[in-house]
Formats: sequence, structure tokens, C-alpha cells
Amino acid sequence: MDQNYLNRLRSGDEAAFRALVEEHQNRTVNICFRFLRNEEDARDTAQEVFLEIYRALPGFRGESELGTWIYRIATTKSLDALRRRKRKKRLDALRGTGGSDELDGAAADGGSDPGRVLEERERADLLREAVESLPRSQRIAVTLAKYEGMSSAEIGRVLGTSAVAVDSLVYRAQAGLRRKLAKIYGRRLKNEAEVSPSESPSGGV
Amino acid sequence: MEERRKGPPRGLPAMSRKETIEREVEATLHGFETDRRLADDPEFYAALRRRIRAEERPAAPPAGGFFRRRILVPALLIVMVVLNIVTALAVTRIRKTEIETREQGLTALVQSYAAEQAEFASYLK
Repeated sequence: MDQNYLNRLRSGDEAAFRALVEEHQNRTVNICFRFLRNEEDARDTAQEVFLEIYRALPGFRGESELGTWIYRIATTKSLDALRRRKRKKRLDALRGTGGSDELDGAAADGGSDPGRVLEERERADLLREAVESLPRSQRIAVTLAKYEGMSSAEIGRVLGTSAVAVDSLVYRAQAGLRRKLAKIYGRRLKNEAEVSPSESPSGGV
Repeated sequence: MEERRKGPPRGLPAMSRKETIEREVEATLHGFETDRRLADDPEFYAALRRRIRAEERPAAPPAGGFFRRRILVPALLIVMVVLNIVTALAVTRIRKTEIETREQGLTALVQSYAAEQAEFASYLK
């Protein structure tokens, strides 16, 4: 890491801080978005991340890379925000005010075909739910690896573990996702077959 | 072993069902690659700077600070002390009155008992 740049950051140099924010803003916002699934919440949480970085910069010793440090804070803050959101949702449900999740459509633009857009959105929701049900470390690893395309070494530094351990986490996460999704689709097929037996080739008279 | 295996749902042969599920799972997992990314917000840094400035700005003294510190708080303290003293005096006076009343009642009881004793004794004579 450039010592001069680090010294400028530590001394509160605005231009250096601006450069830091501009370099890491996109990935930070998107990491927050992967966990929170709401654009406004993601941008707000990313601002909190950089606010914390700004406060802590004078004491930053440069033992880890700046990016790693930022993404670690982004991950922790997003999961905290998600926990708060879930708690609020439970409280709203108890009070009967029925707080809505207001999650943003996660699927990519499926072109002009509304059927395809709907299908992709449904798939994205299913994937999100399956990822959310994974254990915390697997969930972080698979989110950073698969959505953000981060390397195992980078994720290892964020999680404070080795690249090999990250590979194992991602592998287990993917296996878990396959199992969960297969179960959901299996159940769905079974229900469809039971609902419309006459439509199936062998389900005749 | 073959009989114990759970059969496919009506209408779908075993392989077809398995293949369908696998195809659906793969298509869903493909969502990792096609998931949308948020674009850069050109206002991000400006908004962040505003938040930093708002944090760094010293907190304004509360409205009516002088009046509150110099007059209202001491006055409230004095009122509280006076109220405490008045309450303590009132309680003491009430207790004293209660004790006096009880003493008077007992004296009257003893006197009436003594009078009854004397009357009873005169009958016996």
C-alpha cells in the first residue's frame, strides 16, 4: 500500500478520501445490496460504512488492505441492518401493522417479454431465499464469490480465514443451495401433477 | 429395494422429473450471474460529505439554555426541598395527633373501667 496515500488519508486529506470512496463505492454499495436487497437501504448502509471508515482512518495501521477492511465493514453492517429489519418485521407482525419487505426486483432485465421477466424475478427471489437460509459464513462466502466475483483469497481476508476454507464454504453453500432448490422444485412438480392429472400423458380416464 | 423407492408423480416419468428439477435448479443458480448490479450514484460522495459535516458540527446549545440552567433548575430544586420539608412536617404532625388521640381513648377506657369496678364493688357490699 502506498505509504504516502495512507498518510494523506490518516491526516484527513479530502482528495485522498474522495479517491478512496470513488474506488470502492461501487463494490461496497453492491455488497450491501446483495444482503439487503433494497437499493435505498444499500446506499444508506454504504454511506454508514464510509462514515465509519472516515472516523477510524486516523487509527488505521495498514495491517490489512483498505479494500478488505471496507468490505468487511460493509458485510457486517449489512447483516446487522438485515437483522434489525427482520426484528422490525416481527414486531410489526405482532402489532398487526404488517410491515412490508419492500425488496427490489433482483432479476436482470429479461427483455420485453413480461412472462420471462416474471419468471426471472421468481427465480431470483427463490435464490435469494435459499441463500438467506444458509449458515452465516457460507452465506457471506457464496454471496461475495458468486454475486461479487471476489476471489477466495479476497473473501478469506474479509472473513479472516484461509482461501482453502473459503473454497470449502462456497462448495458446501452451493451443495446446500442445490438441495434446497431441488426440494422446492420437486414439491412444486408434485403439486402440479396432483392438481392436473388429466393434463399429463398417462393421467387419462 | 425398487418397490420401496418413492415413485414419480403421476404423469412424469422418473428421468424426466429428475431432469426437469435439475434444469430448474441450474437455471435458478444462473441467477448469480444475471443478478442486476446497482450503478454508481454521482451524488454518493456529496451526500457522504454532508453526513460527515453534520457529524462534525458541534451540537447547538439547547434553546433557553441560560434560563433553564440559571433559573428553572435551581427553582425546581428549591421547590422540591420545600415540598419534602412540608411533607415531613405534615407526617410528623399527623402521627403526633394519632398518638394523642389513642392516649386519650385509652385514658377514657381506663376511667370508665375503674368507674364500673367501683359500681360493681358497691353492689357486692
